[in-house]
Amino acid sequence: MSETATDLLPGEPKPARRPVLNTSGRVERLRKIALWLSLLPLAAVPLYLDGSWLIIGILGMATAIGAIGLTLLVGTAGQLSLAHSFFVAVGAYAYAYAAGDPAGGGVEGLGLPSALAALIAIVASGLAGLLFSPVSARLKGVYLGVASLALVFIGDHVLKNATPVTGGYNGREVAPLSVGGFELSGGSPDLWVLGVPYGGRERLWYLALAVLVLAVVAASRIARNRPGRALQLMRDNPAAAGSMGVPVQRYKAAVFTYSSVFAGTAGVLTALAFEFIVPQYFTLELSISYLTMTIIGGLGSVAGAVAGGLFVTALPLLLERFTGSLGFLAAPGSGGLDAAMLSRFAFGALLVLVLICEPGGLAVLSRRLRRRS
Amino acid sequence: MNVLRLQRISLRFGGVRALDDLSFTVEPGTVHALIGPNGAGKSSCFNVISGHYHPDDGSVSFGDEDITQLSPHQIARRGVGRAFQNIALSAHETVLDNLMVARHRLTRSGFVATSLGLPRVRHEERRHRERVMEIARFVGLGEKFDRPAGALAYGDRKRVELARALSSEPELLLLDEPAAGMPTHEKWEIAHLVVSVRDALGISVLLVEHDMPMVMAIADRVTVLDFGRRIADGTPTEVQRSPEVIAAYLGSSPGPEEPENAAARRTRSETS
Repeated sequence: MSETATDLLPGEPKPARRPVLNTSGRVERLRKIALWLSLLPLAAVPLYLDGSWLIIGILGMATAIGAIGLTLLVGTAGQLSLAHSFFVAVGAYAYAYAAGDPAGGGVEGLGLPSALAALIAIVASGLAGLLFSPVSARLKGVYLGVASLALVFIGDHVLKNATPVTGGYNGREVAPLSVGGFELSGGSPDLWVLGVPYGGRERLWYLALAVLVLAVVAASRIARNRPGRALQLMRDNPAAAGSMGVPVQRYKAAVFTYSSVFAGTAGVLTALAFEFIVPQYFTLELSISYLTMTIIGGLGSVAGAVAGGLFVTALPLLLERFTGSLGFLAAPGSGGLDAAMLSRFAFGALLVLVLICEPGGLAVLSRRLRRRS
Repeated sequence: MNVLRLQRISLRFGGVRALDDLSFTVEPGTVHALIGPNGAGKSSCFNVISGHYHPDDGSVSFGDEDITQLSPHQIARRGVGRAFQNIALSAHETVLDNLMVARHRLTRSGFVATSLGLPRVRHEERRHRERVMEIARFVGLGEKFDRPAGALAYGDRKRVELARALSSEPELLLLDEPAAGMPTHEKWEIAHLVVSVRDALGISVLLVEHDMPMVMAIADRVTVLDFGRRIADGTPTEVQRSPEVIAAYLGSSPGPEEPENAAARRTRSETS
């Protein structure tokens, strides 16, 4: 390698090995262990909460996975996308189509094994992202955001009109995911754990949690290592990135594709959680709420995206559950201030607050609090 | 070792001739200074060499290869490093991360291998981190690896910029005003560094610098630009004696002729 070819000054004393990073490395390792231990209570949640609570967590985790992809794209690479809902839709519908029963009433399906279908769906969203690379490689920042709007409208049109595949306005059913006859998002065969019946939602909780952990690990590695550094410099100074040997166009396309894989994964899990998907869910509004999550969480922060994803997904669902006990909330659809409306106000206020007071979002806020304590 | 050769480069922005029939050669193992008044075309010249601008005419070659139409990352991969004049670092990232990005052409870990956390990704990271830390110490950054680059003092940020360019292990280094805005004693530290980059690391340096005493002290060869044209090329002493150069810097006519004509004729007679 060339680093041995150009040795430094002959008289220079050999420096000690990683003097600074050694201590922070140990802290890092302890933190890592603590993080893994914190997963234990999360794994026990299905023993205590019933399905109607679990679904909130499952949707939150699925969304968090999508938000992680978007925070890499928007935060780390500085490339705006409003098409995230499109790639979520590709994942969801590709899974439903590939795993769907060919003899199902009205809509077509390939009848593939559902695990294979899930894989195909994730690859399909990645491919969709890759197909967009002639655009995503050439445009930067806000301009890409505007161009990506086109995908949302195309997606909306296709979802509503390719009825044999998507079920049109009425949507289509989603087959449960099963591996070797064991359903990971359904109730068969029967399973009891410590006296608790493990149905579809209990099992899906574990699947979502496992995939979320994988997504966090993968994205943190990207952010910390060679690809992430290249993306950060590309965001801060594209000219300098080029001169450091980063193929800027290829990296723009690559990070767009990478983030669409996360969106597709989120789509598959969302479809499994809903068990029935309709085009009205995969709209521009979904893209905007993904953006909201990444901004509230702190752009470019993986942990922030998870927090933002959970928060933005869970708040309206939780408020809805408590509509009865919260006197000021009107019933959904009654025209008054309902849960969805209130949470939209809350997100709007939070967005403004974050952008003005703490552009680093929850991630920086928690770091600051930790340092103070 | 490769020679950098610019041949009859012309670059126009609308009606403005940023570079006009410019030719010069950077010999391996030399410190070659590119000087001239503000707006003479020094930065445009750097941008042409590093591939950020493509000239309207003429060619740039590095070794046997024509690099005129290559993009910046392709030129970087051929061993031409660049330090920017207005510090182009990621201010929020650490010094170490800012330096590590320059290892891009020397490393391979892509999105898939990194996501999977393959052992070779970790080995590569560790190996290159050590080398980058050596380079940081070499330019006098000491142990400030974990500090965000934006939090450093101006002089240190200039050093990070230099260290980053060195971290790409270039064969030829384009240095755009490495000592600009520094106090005198720090300027001389940088001058000393530039010389050791040439002598200890064997890297050729193409240097843009306004500080004349520094240029005259460390340059092996000097090319002088004015209005995008080469008005002198030679050793520091030769250049200092050139009437065109004195005219360009002091603004007086070098004799009965207009300086522009004199410069143009001189360039023509030298290239033919």
